[in-house]
Amino acid sequence: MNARDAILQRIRSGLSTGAPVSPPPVPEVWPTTDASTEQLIERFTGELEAVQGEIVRCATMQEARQKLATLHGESQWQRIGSADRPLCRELAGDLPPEQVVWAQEGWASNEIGELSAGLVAAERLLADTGTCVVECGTPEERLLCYLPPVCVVIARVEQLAEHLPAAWEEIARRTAEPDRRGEFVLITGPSRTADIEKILILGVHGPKRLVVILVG
Amino acid sequence: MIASTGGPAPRQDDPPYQRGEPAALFIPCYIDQFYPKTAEATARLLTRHGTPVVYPDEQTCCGQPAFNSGYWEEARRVIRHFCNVFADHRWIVTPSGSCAAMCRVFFGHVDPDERIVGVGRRVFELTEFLVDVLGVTDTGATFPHKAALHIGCHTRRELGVVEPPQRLLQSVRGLTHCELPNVEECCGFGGTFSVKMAGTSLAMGQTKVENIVKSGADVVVSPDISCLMHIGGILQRNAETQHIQIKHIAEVLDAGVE
Amino acid sequence: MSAENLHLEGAPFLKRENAGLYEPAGSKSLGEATERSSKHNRAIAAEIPYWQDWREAARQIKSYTVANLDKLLVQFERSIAARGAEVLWAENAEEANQLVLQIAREHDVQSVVKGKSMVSEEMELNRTFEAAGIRAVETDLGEYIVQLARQRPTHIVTPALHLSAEDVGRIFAETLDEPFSANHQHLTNVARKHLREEYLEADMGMSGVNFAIADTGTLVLIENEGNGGLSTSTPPVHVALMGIEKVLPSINYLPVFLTLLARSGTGQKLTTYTHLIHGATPGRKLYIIILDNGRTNVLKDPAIRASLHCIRCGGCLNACPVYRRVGGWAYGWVYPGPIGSIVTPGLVGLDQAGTLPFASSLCGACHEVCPLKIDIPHQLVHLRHRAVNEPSPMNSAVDRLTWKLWAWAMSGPKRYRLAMKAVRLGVRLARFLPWHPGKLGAWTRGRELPKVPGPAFRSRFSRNPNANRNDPR
Repeated sequence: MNARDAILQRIRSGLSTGAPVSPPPVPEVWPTTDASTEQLIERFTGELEAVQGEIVRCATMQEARQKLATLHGESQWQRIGSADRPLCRELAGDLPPEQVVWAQEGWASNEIGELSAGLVAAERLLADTGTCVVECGTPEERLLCYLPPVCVVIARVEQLAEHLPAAWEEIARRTAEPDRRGEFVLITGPSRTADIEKILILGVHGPKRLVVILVG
Repeated sequence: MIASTGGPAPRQDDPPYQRGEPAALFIPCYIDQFYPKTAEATARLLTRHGTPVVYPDEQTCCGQPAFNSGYWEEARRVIRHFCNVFADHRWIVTPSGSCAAMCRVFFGHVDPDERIVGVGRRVFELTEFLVDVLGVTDTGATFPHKAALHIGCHTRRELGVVEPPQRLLQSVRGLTHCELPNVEECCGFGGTFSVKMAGTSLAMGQTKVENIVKSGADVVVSPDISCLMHIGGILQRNAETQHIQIKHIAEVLDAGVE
Repeated sequence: MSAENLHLEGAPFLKRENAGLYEPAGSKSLGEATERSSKHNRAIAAEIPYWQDWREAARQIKSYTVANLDKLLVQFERSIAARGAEVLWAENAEEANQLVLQIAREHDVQSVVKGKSMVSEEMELNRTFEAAGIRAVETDLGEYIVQLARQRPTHIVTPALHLSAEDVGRIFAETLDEPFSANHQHLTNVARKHLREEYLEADMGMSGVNFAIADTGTLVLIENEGNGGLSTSTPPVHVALMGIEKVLPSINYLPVFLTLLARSGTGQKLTTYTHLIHGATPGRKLYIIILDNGRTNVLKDPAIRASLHCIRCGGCLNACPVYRRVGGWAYGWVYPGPIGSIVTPGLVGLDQAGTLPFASSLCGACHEVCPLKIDIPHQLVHLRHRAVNEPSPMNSAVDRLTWKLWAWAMSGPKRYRLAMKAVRLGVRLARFLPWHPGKLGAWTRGRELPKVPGPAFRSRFSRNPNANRNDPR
């Protein structure tokens, strides 16, 4: 008998003394309130900053492009890398190759590591926790989130949801799609650790800075 | 089989207490032998508030030491005797939270027999009986001391008894309440744990004593004398803390009432 | 199961008799840090009105999961295989190690980066890699530190909690050839620099699994450092290790678990990174190893089955006054603290770890904070009962006889009175003894004995002619 069958058989015989249990209902985690977009923006900003993230608000994508340029200059970035996604193209599509490299198959990890920042697009933003939901379909997109020292997330206010349960139906539906690969990563602030004496330090392996450019 | 869903242990308070119904005293062995004044105070408190007490003198023990050590068959023997002694008593009151917890929560683990579980459920800790059953919140006591209240873990978590001792203590005249830092942390007694893991037990007890000193109390009051034996033992061992007394809450609630 | 992995030295809790030993061997930083965490996490929980509802919901979901474990594992296997993953099964640590080595050989693996995985500690996987000449580096900062120090982790969430910043500085200076520093930021930067190289060169990345979602075929990994994301995306091969109990029936149940785990484990609303991995990333290979390693033994005993609900948040460790003083090594194996005291005997067997369930005052703080409402104290007394009846270091004919005598004395009023007379005499005489043996000595080492007052209560009461002894009315 192979390991799989042996284990399954042992599970069945171990459980034989148990009564059947029916699947519990999906619990309501947080109730959804009638928050306005302004309130959601305020909440998101507060939560993001509480986990040491940064927010750059822009009325239009045009303004966002200007602010990205400013950020680029102030932070003394060299080249940034970007996921090849519609929102990213809208923001950085006009930038020259000396400033932005677009994610491509076979892109080497150490090249990604040498970039000054990684630009990714949010699928949703969660106001109550300051979270960005990012889709990474390829290894290169995944590495863009983790390797460069700064992670920049471009998002529109329409993408704001109150909290995880409010966005969950969509996340669950898309996760269930059989052809989906890669990952959804829920990013809440820059990388951190408290492994030495429980003192909080940012940027241990992942990015030291997380910047959300919010348009709308 | 243990089917635990958490929450304090159910108790038998239905049909509700009728004025004048007697209560049977269950006095744990260590109170009977080493702190008889606590038992006397318990009897007086109940009688004074309209509950005649009876003391079935064939009683011995609730079986907890054997149970906690894993010797359930041996505990069952003692539990059976307990149930025989208290079978015909509707209300059973004991000045010990940990013994009440043993009866209400753990009798059923040892023997699911309805009769045994039923007797167990009728055991009440003293302060919960006074407050929840008799509706007493002021015992008319006077105890002019700086007192810190320590509630034993079984009383706090298995029985869910926290408010009754607090409320009763509030009514005591002259008593200055001293807040214990980290009041919920275990004192380290834990029954045989106190000798099986003596080093850790002592370390925990020493922290409790440090917190008692921080609180400024000159008396430690508790519904659990087992904890107090351990805390008191440490207090007495060190010259700087020897002046701090231990007192079972029954004695405080009975103090200065003529 | 063999327990060569049990570390008896420095684990007083695994010894049968230790009344003479002074157990606490934790460290000041561990004690203070866990207390801080505990207070913080309790505050976070207290501010939420739904906390108790979430706990109960999670308990029900895990209860359902365990009751249907075989079907759910089969469903998970199918779903994630459909997403390009290869699923392997291992009955024990030995088999799991062999599977990992096989995969490593197939892919010409020279170096491995490892994310945090308690299962890999059960397997002692790093020893296996070492023996096979494969370089394996822990990437979780705490695990990295203890690996460099050649020590074992002391806490399941914060493995290096027993070390001060100075300790870490010394370890880095010695093993990484770095100048000494005790500055937290600087030390973290050093680790970042060194591990960055490791990620980029590694041939294989390993991780644990926080939740394995059966209906969608999703691997859920949660972390704060980013090492989980990096070690599973830089190398071409990702191997995920999971115990059989890690499966969750549906993606719809995930939000409540993410919320409970983050708040109970680290006092956060959500961890920095929550990865929902949809099978194999294109261009990368994903293997999942499902491990039993004694969990089916735990399943057999209904009274401890709920220990399989544990989501490894570490909340019970932070709340436990015993753990705080003795640290993780006292528990002798992978899982310390209250959860360790029930999981270790379950997985390793009572014959090896039968003393662990006794290393507790049964205070119940763990049960109070456990996000899954696992009733640890109740499971502990149940395991004590099993330990004295089954082959274990606590199964003792002498103890049994003593307790039988005790029960005999305590089940008859006359015998009880006689026994108590003896005890009172003993306590009175003890004051005159120059030295106290055994358990008596364990008490008096740090405590005075109670004074023996006059007559016992029962004799005082019976002297009162008005006392109503037996009339129940």
